[in-house]
Amino acid sequence: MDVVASLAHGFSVALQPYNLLACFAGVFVGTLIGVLPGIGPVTAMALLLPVTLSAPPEAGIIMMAGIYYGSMYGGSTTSILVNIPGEAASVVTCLDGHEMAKQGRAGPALGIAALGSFFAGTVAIVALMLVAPTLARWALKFGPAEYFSLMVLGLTLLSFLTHGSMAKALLMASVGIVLGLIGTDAITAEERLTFGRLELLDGVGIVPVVMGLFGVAEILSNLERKISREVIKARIGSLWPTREDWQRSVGPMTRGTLLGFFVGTLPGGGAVISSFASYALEKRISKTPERFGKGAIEGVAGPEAANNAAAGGAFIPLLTLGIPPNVILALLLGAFIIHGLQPGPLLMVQKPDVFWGIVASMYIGNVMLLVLNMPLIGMWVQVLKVPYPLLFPLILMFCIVGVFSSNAAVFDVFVMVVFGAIGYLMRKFGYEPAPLVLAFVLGPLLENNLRKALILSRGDFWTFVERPISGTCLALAVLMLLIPLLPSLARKREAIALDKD
Amino acid sequence: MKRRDVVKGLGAALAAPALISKAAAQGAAGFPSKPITIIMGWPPGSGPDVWHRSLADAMTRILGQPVVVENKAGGGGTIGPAHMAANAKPDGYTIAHIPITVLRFPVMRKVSWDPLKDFSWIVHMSGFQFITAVRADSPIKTKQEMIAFAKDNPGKLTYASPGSGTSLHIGMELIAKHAGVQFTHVPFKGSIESVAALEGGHVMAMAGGSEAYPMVAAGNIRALAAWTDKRLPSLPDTPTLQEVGLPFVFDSPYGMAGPKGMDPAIVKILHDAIKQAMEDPKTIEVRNRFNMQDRYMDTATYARFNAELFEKEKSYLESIGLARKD
Amino acid sequence: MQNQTKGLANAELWGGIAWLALGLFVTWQGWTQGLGVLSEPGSGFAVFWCGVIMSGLSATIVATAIRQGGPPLKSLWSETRWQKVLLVMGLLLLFGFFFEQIGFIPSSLVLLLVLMRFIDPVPWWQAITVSFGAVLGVWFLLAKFLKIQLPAGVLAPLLG
Repeated sequence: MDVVASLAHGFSVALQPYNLLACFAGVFVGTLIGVLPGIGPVTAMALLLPVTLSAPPEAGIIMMAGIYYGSMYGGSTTSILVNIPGEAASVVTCLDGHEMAKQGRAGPALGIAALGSFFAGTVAIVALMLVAPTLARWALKFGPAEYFSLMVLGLTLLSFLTHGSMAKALLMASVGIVLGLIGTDAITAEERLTFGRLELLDGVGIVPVVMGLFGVAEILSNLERKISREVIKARIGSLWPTREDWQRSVGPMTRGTLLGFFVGTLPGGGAVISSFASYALEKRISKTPERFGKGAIEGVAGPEAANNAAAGGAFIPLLTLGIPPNVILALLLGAFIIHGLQPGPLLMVQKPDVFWGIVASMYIGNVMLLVLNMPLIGMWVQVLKVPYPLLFPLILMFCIVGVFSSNAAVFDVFVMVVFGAIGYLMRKFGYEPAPLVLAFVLGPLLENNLRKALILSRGDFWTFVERPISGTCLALAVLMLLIPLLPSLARKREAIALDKD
Repeated sequence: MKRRDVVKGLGAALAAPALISKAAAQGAAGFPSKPITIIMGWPPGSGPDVWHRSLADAMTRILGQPVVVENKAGGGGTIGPAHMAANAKPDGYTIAHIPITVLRFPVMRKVSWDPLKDFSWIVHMSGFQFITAVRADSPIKTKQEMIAFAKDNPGKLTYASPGSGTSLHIGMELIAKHAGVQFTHVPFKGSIESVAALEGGHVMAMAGGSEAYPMVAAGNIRALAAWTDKRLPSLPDTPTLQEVGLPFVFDSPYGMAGPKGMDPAIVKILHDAIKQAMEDPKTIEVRNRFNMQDRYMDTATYARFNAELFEKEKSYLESIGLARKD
Repeated sequence: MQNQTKGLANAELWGGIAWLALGLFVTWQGWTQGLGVLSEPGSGFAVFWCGVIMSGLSATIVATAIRQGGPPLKSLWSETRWQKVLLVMGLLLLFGFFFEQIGFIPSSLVLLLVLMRFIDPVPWWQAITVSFGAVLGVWFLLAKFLKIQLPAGVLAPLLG
């Protein structure tokens, strides 16, 4: 079937009143979940799954998918307003987004985040239709060696995340890797650094760590200052991005979308890597890299577009191969199965109604999200007007609820509190948390794939170089590290030459 | 929502005294008089979770009191039951899904529970089904050819499993031991990653669960053997291990239990309700969707089965060197 | 933080030493876990090497601190309300211990009221309105609308 005709058919499915309603319900719940920090779509989707059982399959799945991409939309809100990333992918949004809010530019930051998400979401759907099968095959080429090299490339992004001491940043990265290794070793089933705690068998959760290091630590440092946040309150500037903001954001959005889409198709950590990578890329090619970390709008536009495009890209392996690349899509796979559908190569052929109906509903859902979210920006900005003595207890409560609800584990609440204290001390002593988070996400993948690749190659390190994709990633990583060094090397040589004269 | 009535410490001080005396006065007569919680050790949306939610629905109708599923995931499905064994009252209002790891982990490491003493077994329910598979274009066509290949090329046959210490890893190692060959184990996270690794050609074979079936149906991968006692309804052309001369049946059985010391009369009420719910056509449909078999056993059989299973796990894990050493 | 010290009160030095201790601990843990062989690296392989790298990096931080000095420890907390930070931490820990038993609604209400009244006191009527509104609102939204599990605790019989 020709794509246009299929899509037209898809729209006829998605535009049926019942399906439209399902789509709206999905994106509405998704927006709500996205805004609540820490409450991921997983919990809500799982618990609403049985509710969809009585609905027809298309409607049920359209709603579930709506929750997923809807939740990606609102994720940046708390990052920008109160420096609390609801998930690892929004960590980078904190870096410049919250700075913008402090400068009274929360409105433009939220606006660019929403529009960047819309742009990336829509482009990702178009790409999903056009290149899905090809890209799915490409993603399968990633074996242990390729993943290892990709993670190495990911870790080189560290050098762009920090503006303090490099030794401290690298130290934080190794701490992050070690934290990520806590739990049962998947290869030998041995416990590592669990100190006999059953709760640590599955590792330390990313959500409590991130919310502790950013959210709770931010509150603690704010509280110890005598003059609280009157400064921010006084300046809530315009709500809408300026013309200059637009000009600065178009490039980052486009690049972020492309990057996010490709990385998103890869199983494991796609959205996180793509948002960090987009930030690093923008900082690297910017003419004014010193503005990053101090409220550069590019640092919001790029990563937000990237993580939404990644959400779209993630559908590819699920719909075409039946392989969900992350937990959320695994849950969506569960929804398919409950409704008696089997995603995979045969879905498009056997159930075109469902496949194209879902794709079309995603277009509609994205428009709904934009309409739903833009008017909300004005409301969100008002949050900053709430006096801090009233606001911070509420933020703490939301953090606790978010952290608790993903596993119904009080242990996670303690993890968050402990990391809040660590994050507070880290700020005091001048250590940055972002490299730690990146390494925490990438570390376990790095280690696990290194070992798997060595098992497969029987201890031969050459495997990382001789496999084309892996070799390319490593070459890129070396290049990334060398480029910033080159000018300084040249300068040093000049300096030495001058000395001799 | 937690409806657990473990009210202690400050909680007890704050609770209205009337509520406590009411809870204490309950016996088997009039059970259940308040909501029942099933603790689920797997994350929301997983096969057993969804099935138990539909069972809870049916049980609510049967018992006339709300039955709710509460997820307490982690520790390979053991955190929920371990927490229940340590904290819940044996009054039948808190019961837990018991995966095989509850019986296996104590063999592998130090744990907080004694699998044979800390639970009141209620009913055995089902198990996950497993297969061995290769890529469709692999020269290996049967399980025997796979073993022959491993014999000729020691250690060259790589297979993906969903992790060390899983039933699939243990099963493959026992098969290798039985056949006198050596496979190279490459542990992935879950069967889905294994499928991707197999399809991408990064490993030669996989041992996995029902996640692999759609790929078999689509013709991308070939199932060599089913690890069940009878052929799988969804893969009727795939022989069982026993049919290809390997005297094994491996699955990952699970059931339900409460904390130790439950009144047998209450166990009976719960057992009957679960059994009736398992026979409900709606719950059967959900179970089939996730490719889980009906493996009902009554309370006494289940208790015997667990005692045997624990011994079996011990000898299996010792023979492949995964048992705890202290 | 203009004043720098090379003496024992040097914050950089103590920061570095703390991380160094952690690094050495991790190295030791990795070593006891077992490094394995190259064709099959053991569980402790990455832990060990990360520990080594951590120790190395923190050693350079310590060395730099000794050579260049750093802000005195006291200066980090001068003119701050560190008591409030400790108070909030303590409250959160306390909250964690009682959260499941007492339940979400009562424990959150207490937490919010205490935070609002004792850190930067707001008027009682504000504290009560906001905390009741927020707690009940969140509970309704999560437990009733999104069906997310929150401990009911002592209110279990009432909330059904």
